[in-house]
Amino acid sequence: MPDPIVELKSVRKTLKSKTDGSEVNTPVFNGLDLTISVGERIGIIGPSGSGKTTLLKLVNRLEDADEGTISVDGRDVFDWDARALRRKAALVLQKPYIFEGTVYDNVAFPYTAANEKTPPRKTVEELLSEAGLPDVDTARPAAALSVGQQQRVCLARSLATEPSVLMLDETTSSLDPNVAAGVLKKIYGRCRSDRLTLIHVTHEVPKLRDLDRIAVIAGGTITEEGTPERILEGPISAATKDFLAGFS
Amino acid sequence: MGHFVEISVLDVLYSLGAVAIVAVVSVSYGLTLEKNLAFGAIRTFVQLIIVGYLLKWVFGLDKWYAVLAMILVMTLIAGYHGARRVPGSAGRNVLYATGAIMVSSAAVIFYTFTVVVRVDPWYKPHYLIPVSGMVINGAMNGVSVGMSMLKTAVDSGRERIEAALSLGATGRLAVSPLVKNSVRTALIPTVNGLMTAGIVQLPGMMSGQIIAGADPTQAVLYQIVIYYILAAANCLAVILGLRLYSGSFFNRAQQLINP
Repeated sequence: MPDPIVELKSVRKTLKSKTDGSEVNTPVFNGLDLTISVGERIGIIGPSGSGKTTLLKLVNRLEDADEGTISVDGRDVFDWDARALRRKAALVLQKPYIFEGTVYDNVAFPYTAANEKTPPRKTVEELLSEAGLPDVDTARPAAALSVGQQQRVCLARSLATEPSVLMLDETTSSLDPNVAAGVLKKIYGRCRSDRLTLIHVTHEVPKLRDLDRIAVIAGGTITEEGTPERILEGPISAATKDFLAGFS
Repeated sequence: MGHFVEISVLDVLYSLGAVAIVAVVSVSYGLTLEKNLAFGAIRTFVQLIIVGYLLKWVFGLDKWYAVLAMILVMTLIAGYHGARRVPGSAGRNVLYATGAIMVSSAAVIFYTFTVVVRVDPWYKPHYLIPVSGMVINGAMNGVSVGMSMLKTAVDSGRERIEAALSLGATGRLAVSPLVKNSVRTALIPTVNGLMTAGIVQLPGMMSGQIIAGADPTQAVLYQIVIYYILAAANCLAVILGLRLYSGSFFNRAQQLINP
């Protein structure tokens, strides 16, 4: 059994928000367990609002669990320096949020954030190439790029943190299918060569087939998990069947 | 220069005719402002009469501690009102606003009375109190607008902030573009004021000095100084206030929270 890199045990989480001044509690997880191994490529699927994004935010401590334990690389997330943890487990959000400045400034942002010397232009170009944007002018204002290009800049920016775990939250949904396939192929290559672990939240069933495992979240817990063939061809739980029925 | 024409309380009551015009407009257009207008007019009268007598008393005392105590009270009231309309933890917001107003006003007032207008003794209430009032008021308005702007920007930009946090940024770095925009917005009235000084806006202090019989050229010079120091106080207060306030959006784990 390969070494685990991300472990969630008996995780409970309720999201709190305020609507018209009154607090609204939305239960998300009621005892979720999930273990992800080093170098594994896992897909997370489930209906909208099932907590897929919340799960990713719990792993890099943008949110804290109410109960249960979460560990990354063998250490409880509370024992990590939060900023170091976020570099270790990088999250790329669904919507590309471009910061002020050039493409270079954006990709170099993690270095700036860590008070490190900014990288040589060549390093930035390599990261962009890995994210499927090999020919972009790094001196261009990042905001002037198309949405798809901005998304790849965001991916390159996250790769600049040299993560051990890469978490994609519907990240490739705004990309052209061919471009998305190319980007994922490169990331899969890194999973093999650098033992990068990939947690991919996606609604796109074709992108799930090349992964090692799929976990289905519904009703506050993992309802089913297994190989892509097993989940996609022979779903057992009603939640998985319902989810997949929406794509058939 | 001649002495100014004194007016009585009765004369002030005559000026209520101007307020009556607003009341008529409010009724005619169904603005339903009459109640607030009446309350505001009474409040203005009562507040300023009290302040008038208080100033007369402090001027008569001519003691540094009485002057500083009055300025301190003005600062505390400004801090409370500056933060009152900003959503979030009221106590903490008042603390930030008061701190920012206090430090920025003190710095600007100290500079003004040691470098620009050298009065003797330094606490001369005729100078220190009115100028402090204007500076504190400018700082209060800046802090209030800046904090409200930042709160709105953070509420609508949570995901952008989390994108920066996800890359290992501190909360302060993640929120810095929003702070910059809020500072810029809060300073717009000050910059506009400098651009249109004496053209669009009729400076109150200058008018007051001229009515009181001062040499108009001296009144103008004083007004220019006031514009400059208000700009400095406003700028310092906004920057300091937002520096304090922006930190309240994050906890020790650099998570974005609702302060």
